[in-house]
Amino acid sequence: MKEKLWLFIVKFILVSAPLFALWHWKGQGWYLVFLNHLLTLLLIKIAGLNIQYFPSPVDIFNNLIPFVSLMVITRDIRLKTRLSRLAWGLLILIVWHMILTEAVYLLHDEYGVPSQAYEKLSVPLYLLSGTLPFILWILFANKQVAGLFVRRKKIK
Amino acid sequence: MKKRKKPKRKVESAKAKPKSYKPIVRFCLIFLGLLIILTTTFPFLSDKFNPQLTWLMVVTADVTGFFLKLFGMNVWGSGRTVSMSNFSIEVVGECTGLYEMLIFLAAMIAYPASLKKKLIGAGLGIPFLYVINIIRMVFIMVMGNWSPETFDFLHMYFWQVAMILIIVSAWVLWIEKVVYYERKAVAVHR
Repeated sequence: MKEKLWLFIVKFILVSAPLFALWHWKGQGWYLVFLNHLLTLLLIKIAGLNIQYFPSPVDIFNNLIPFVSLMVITRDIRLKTRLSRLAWGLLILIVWHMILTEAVYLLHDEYGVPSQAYEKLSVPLYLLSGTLPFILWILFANKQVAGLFVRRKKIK
Repeated sequence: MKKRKKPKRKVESAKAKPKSYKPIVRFCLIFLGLLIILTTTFPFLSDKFNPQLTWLMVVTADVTGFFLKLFGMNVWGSGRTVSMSNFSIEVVGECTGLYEMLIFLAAMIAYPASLKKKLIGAGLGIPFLYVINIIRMVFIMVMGNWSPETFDFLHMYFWQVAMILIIVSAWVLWIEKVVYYERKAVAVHR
């Protein structure tokens, strides 16, 4: 890391806390409306699927916040690069949310998977949702986290 | 006459290709693969090791209750249940911190380091994550008892992200303090 870990954590908390409050207050409601419109357009109007409604596992959509926070606080990225990577990351996360919503719909509502099996299938998806923003951040801010991966070669 | 090249900017540009990209991509792919394997096999393994998992849930509930009592709270419960005057929880598999430990282990295994250092990391990291999980449980109980409406926010939003941040921090600390520790010492000695 190019900066001290404790400083990075403090910055993360300072940026993500108000973002979380905003998300909890208004953001998640707006996002659900947006995602429903998008899914309706893509799956019902364009793909012609017979889906009555979309479930909203809203607690797993909050992974947008850590990703945005991490991309905002990471040092030494030009504004244009930062914005483009932020946009790409958000796009990937939105696509992931669409896949999750569809998976939940199919497992829970369409096929009526028993609750125990549903839990077994959904836990990996939930865990991936939690770690995805950090994986995207490692990929997009690769130069900033490179020190963690290449220092061993320099010391040799 | 040759034209002088303009000095390159230190700030990262969109076109610049970082040399360090390959090990990062390799790490991400191995980490994702391990995470998928571990998390998909874990629920099925948990059926096989159900008595051990139940024991861990009961221990987690007992330890949470013990610390709450230590802070002078009025707590009672039996088995996996911990109760306070306004609030009660039942400890399930996700509350034991096992999934967080799996994520941490996957990140450690995916990182290029010796087996010895990975074992040191597991030996230090797993108890650390368990302690953090107990702090999380105590915090959620206290806040839930004080204001049950805040439980959802803390449980679903705040702590989920906080735990991932703690895992990433533990992983970075392991790299900085364990993986690079000997190398730094050797470099200074020379």
